[in-house]
Amino acid sequence: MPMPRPKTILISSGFPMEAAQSLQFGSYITWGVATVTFVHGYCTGYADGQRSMAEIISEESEGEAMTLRISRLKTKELNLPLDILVEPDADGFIAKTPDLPLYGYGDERDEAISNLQSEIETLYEDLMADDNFSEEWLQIKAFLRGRVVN
Amino acid sequence: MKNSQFNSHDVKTCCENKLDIQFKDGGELNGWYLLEGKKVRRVTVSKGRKELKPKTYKSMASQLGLSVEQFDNLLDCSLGGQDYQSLISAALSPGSAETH
Repeated sequence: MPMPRPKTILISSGFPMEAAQSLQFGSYITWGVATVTFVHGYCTGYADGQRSMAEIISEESEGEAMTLRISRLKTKELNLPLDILVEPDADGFIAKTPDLPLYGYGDERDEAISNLQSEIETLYEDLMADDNFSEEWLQIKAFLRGRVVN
Repeated sequence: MKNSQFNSHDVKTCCENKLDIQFKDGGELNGWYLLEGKKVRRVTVSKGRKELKPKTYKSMASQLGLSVEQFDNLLDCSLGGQDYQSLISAALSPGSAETH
């Protein structure tokens, strides 16, 4: 009997941060024990030496959710990557991060991720403007202040 | 879930009229709900009159601190601005299990 396929591609916690940060798009995933890296859709590594990341996503995720990490926003860098979940939403995709109450929608995965990156940056700018926030937002402000590099 | 009955413009208009949210025009429209002068909820709405996909609809409800059913009620008029304020006040009161 074949193993059931998970709906989420998991991130490798052991992936070197400096390597992730050196990627222009800054994302990497693992599938099982294998790790692949990519730069905005271009595979730069192979999961098992046989399949590219694009092949893995198309073959294994079957259109279901996947997670990845970003290490930059639209114009700002992150000193530690943020986990991103991208999943189908009707005929498009929605990207979210468990760390922030935000989402980005797009017709394609990349567009959803890009919109979420914009959302994070816009939120960061909102939060840095003043301190007139509830306690939960002040905690998010502290979180982002520690993550975002101007 | 009544996402098919509304579009992004409906959400924007409802947030503006019922919750006094003022949207800032960026890549998307972002607005803060103020409770007692403090920013306590932030919602993102797409520009234009875009169809609301199910998970996007849920995410908007979550951003406003509402269940999907409450969000439905907010949009179809049965949940008013005062009702919303009461819900958020209760959610933010000490001892409540607050979620975003």
